[in-house]
Amino acid sequence: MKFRQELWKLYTENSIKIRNLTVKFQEKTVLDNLHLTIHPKEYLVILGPTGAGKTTLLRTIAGLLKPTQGNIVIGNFDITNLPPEDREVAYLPQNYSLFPYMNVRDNVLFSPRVKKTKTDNEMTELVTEVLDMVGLKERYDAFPNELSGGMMQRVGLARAIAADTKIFLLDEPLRALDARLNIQLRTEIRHLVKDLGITCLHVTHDQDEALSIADRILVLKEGKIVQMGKPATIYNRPQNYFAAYFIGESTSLEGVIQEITDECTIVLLPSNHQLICRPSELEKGVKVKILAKTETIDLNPIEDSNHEFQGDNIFTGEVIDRVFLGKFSNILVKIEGMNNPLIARISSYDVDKFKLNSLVQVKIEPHDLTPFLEE
Amino acid sequence: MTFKQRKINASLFLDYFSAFSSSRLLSKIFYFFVLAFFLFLILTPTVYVIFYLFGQSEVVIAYFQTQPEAFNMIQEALFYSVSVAVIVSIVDLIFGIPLAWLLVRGMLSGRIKTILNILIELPLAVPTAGLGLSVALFWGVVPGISSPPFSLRIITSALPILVLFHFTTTFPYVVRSLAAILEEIDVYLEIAGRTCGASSFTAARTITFPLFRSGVATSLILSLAKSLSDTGGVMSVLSATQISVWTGTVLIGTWKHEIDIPARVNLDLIPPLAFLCVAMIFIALILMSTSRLIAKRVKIPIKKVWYETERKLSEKRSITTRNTLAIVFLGLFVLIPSFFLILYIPIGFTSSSLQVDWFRFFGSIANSLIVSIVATTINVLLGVPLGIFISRKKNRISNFFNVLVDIPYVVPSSALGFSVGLFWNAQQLISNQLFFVIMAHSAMTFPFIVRNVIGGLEDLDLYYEETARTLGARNFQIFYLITLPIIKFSIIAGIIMSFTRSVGETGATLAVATGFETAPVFIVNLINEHQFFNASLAIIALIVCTSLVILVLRTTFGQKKVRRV
Amino acid sequence: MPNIQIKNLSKTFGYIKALRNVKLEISDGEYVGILGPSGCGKTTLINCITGIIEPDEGSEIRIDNKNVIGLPIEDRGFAMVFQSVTLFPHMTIQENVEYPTRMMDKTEQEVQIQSDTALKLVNLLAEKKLYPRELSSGAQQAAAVARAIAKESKLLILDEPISALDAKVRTELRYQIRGLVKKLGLTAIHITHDQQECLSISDRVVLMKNGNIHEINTPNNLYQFPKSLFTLNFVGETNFFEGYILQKKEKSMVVRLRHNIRILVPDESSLKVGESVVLAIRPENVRIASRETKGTSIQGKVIESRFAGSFYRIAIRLSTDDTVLADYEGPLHLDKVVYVSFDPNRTQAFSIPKDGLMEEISLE
Repeated sequence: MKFRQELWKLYTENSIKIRNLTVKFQEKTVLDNLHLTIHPKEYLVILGPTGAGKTTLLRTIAGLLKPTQGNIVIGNFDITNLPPEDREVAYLPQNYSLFPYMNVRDNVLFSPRVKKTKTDNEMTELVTEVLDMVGLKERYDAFPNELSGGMMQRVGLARAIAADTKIFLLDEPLRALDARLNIQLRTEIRHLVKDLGITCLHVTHDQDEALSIADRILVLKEGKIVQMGKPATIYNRPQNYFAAYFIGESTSLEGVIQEITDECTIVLLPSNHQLICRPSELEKGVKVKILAKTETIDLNPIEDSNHEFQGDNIFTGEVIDRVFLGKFSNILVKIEGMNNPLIARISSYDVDKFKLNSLVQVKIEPHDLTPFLEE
Repeated sequence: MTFKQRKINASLFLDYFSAFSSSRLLSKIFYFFVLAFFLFLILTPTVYVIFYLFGQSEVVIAYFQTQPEAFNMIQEALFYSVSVAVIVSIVDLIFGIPLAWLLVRGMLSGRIKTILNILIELPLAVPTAGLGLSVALFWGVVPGISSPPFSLRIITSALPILVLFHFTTTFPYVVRSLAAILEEIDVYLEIAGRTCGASSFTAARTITFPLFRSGVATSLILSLAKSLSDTGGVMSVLSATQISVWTGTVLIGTWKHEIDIPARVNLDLIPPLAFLCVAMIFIALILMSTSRLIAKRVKIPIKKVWYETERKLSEKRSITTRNTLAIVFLGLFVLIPSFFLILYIPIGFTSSSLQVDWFRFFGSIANSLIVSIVATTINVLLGVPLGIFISRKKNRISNFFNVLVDIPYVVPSSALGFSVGLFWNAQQLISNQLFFVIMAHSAMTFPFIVRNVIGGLEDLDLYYEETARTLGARNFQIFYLITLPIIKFSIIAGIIMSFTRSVGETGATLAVATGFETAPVFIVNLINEHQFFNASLAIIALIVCTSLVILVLRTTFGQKKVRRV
Repeated sequence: MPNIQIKNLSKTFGYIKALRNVKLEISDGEYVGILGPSGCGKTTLINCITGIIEPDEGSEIRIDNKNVIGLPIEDRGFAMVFQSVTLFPHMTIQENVEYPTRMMDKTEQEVQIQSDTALKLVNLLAEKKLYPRELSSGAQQAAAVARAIAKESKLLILDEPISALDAKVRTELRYQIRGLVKKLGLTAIHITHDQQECLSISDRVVLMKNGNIHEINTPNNLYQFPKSLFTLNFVGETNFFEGYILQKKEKSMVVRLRHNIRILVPDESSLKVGESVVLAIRPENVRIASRETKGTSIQGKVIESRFAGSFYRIAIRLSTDDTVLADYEGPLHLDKVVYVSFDPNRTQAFSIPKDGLMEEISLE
């Protein structure tokens, strides 16, 4: 009992420091020398494609995997070798793994029962309280197979809350749900975690999900940290090509640096167009990739002659498809000589201005374009 | 902070236990104990008999030189055993595959599927000695009794009657295992094939069948092993029809009997009997590996399409014909012969006088129950941890044991029984017949529990245990609260299989002990004495007893209950 | 000539009516998305069209004017991509893609050409000797698309083809699939639970709910002019306010919200004075100002301000005790007092559903 309370205190007051963390499965390096610090009460989203090592990182923090090398330290206490049952972290795997032969109530009370931390009366109160939090008070005697996906997810959360831990580890908690439900539940989870005042690590492959709930995002790729920071920083100032590519939607352009000045970098595209980009520290003559984010591309119908674009990076192209996304629409513009169409995002209420096969003016502000080395 | 010196709240025994079981050393010691026990109890006898034979090779050769007729008997026995097993297995597959297909992919309504499943499994409830008598009454000529109505009385020679008999013992196993493996193959692969334009037959042949090969091999092995191994049924069918011929298991039983007959103990027969047993074991192993190899090597053409023929075979008419043939086979060659005995009972009532030796009768049933219950209990205690070890510890040792576990499946039970007897006699520690029989039965039925535990654990998501762990549960709590409730049903299924198999076993009992009469041995003895009516009653009594035990097991553990932590 | 006609299509499983009298026509060359939450009947609908299950008596499904009810799957003349990867695991990518052509009694050369063409379309020609398990799941699904295309059917059915993939891969495959279908002039039926995927890929969306077709419309109209509260909520986020009509004017009305707060909204509906209504407005149509506009704005306090890519998502607690979500170009300070008004042309009023608003828009 004393041990738990001291651990809680550690967790609420100190950052989790991960140092030189390496995990290998046989010869395969899944996590490669990770260094990171997780602040107390932070909502950290771990974002990356399949095989990036996201789940491995989560399971290592939970104590279910032994790192090949490195430490996990909280305050001055090293928890690397602490077994999972003593770590006081709640781990929610992708399929929620609700115990199938226990009803909702017994699932929720699993942790207090095995830890023997509560009296019967306290447990009855606890069940009512946590099920109320997730909006499932009436379903306490249902079995997992009688619940919908969203409800199962909520019971999983309730069980984690009842474990009374200070750290949540959520592995793709929304993956198995319908897309619309995902949007609704992601905010619910964030609010719940914030109300409880606990640290939460949330793994996902979906950048939209990450942006909408994270305090900070950790982008992982092939077991390495790509970038870590606030959503706006990662989105607006990606440090490398992968971060820029993975977050947000964009068109990829390739070219060679023709000239570098203090104000800009000039890149020559294979189509012989010149593209003015942000200044960079690269060298003249190197091959680079540039990602034009969809919302940074401005469009103007050619017929609209009283509003003509002025300045750098202005091209003319043909509308080849219009992709409706809801609030926004993407307009695919084919520019003579370029392989891929440019994808520009506009408000859907303006979509009728851009008829199929009509000609449009395209403009991209140089400060929205960063050249990256090819990886 | 003194985290390392954390004191365990030790107020309860469970807490002690869970703390202990969390210790790595203790779990290592525990597993070592289980593995050692398994090796000693289950496997050593089989290996021992082989070494024994090497030691006695000169004696054996000398024996066959002086007694050439003994060698001829062995030849005859092996010929019948092997040819019957091969024929039966092939025919089983030919009719079993369509029947399994119908069960799994036939879009049957739930009720029809249940009925068909029950019909297929029904013969498993009858002890093979009973099946032997029943088959003899239906197909064969049983002298000295008035035949029941509808009996065919057309088979008078050894090979066909043995083949016909083995259909009843093997076909249910084959269909069941084929169906189980077919369930595993994603039906959407075949549907995808059909959306590519393949007719249903072509899709089955080019997509499902290549993925199904290992399943075919498994079923083939199952029916080969089962038919090589049967003793009681073969004795019954041969004895009732008075066809005198040797098969491997019958010869083992007979010789063992001759060795131990109190009046003229014939210890000279032990080395040649060991030779016969080792021959049976090797033949079994060779047949198994050949069928694995064939299943692996046979290439099913996936690029060639016989358009017209295969479309014809996919038509409703062809499918109906195929299904009808399979069901007719099930009815005529399996179900009717299995239960034909029922028609004999009214005739028996009127024509025979009831002279049951009640003491022997109840004694034998009591013996059977004691042996089966004790053997099954040993298997549960050893088999559950071994199953967990094999499926959870993925390393070289567990792989090795994974292969070893199946050996008792494959080795004919009478050969296994003889080896167990030989081994324990040589130890001269215990000479209790009951102990011998229990050891033999335990070895024979051991794989049922282990395989079921492994199967249950494979269905069990590892995440359950991991989640429970992060929620604070310790090893023993995880096993007791998470693992056990989920694999409980697999264990019960294993117990039922192990129990029924043990209750119905004749060969192992005859080969391991003398004068120890279990119910099936009693039945075979009655049939040998041509007391068919008494035998029938004993068979029915045995079926009733077995069903009662199963019923008790099912009602005690079978219901899915809500477990309060 | 309509390519597919469905009439009176019903399917009952035991007591559950999975489909109730569905009527749907799909024309040649159209890309139709079938959208709905889990359990809405979209999978049953597709299973009936493909012949994986047989519908109830009296149902009618015609493909190219041919009644296909009772026909086996292979004779219905469509190609299909499934949700789970159904590449045949014992065949290479090439053998998989050749499979449909081999079923057509063609020469070896034709088989080769056709499969190579299909593989080229999805950029997998270099990987053709590999086995499915050696590819990433996105590439596996692309290969499954190639296999379907190689069949050269004019009708392509896609059953949640990209739902199981990573978000980023999903967006990319979306363009690829739509591009291919349009390039080859196919008719496509695409099932999904993802409203954004459906809107972006389809020419026309069929929204299903409880075994019925709830609404059929073009993506744009479905989003901008939905006919029901359910549609409004399902195909995008929406703020809802419950209130009742206090006064009706020409082309507008005054709605009373909680705490006696009134707001003027445009109206051309047949709703009557005194009727309980739900006002619906999408976050991007909520205007935030620092000054009050008499009669059309409501006071509120910023409770959350989050970065959302090209805009900020602001949550505002209104004086009506409702929380409204609004999209704004920059971040706002917490607790800042703001005045919220609704874009008059993009606010919709619906009479309150009889089972209540929450039941009507429930996703589960």
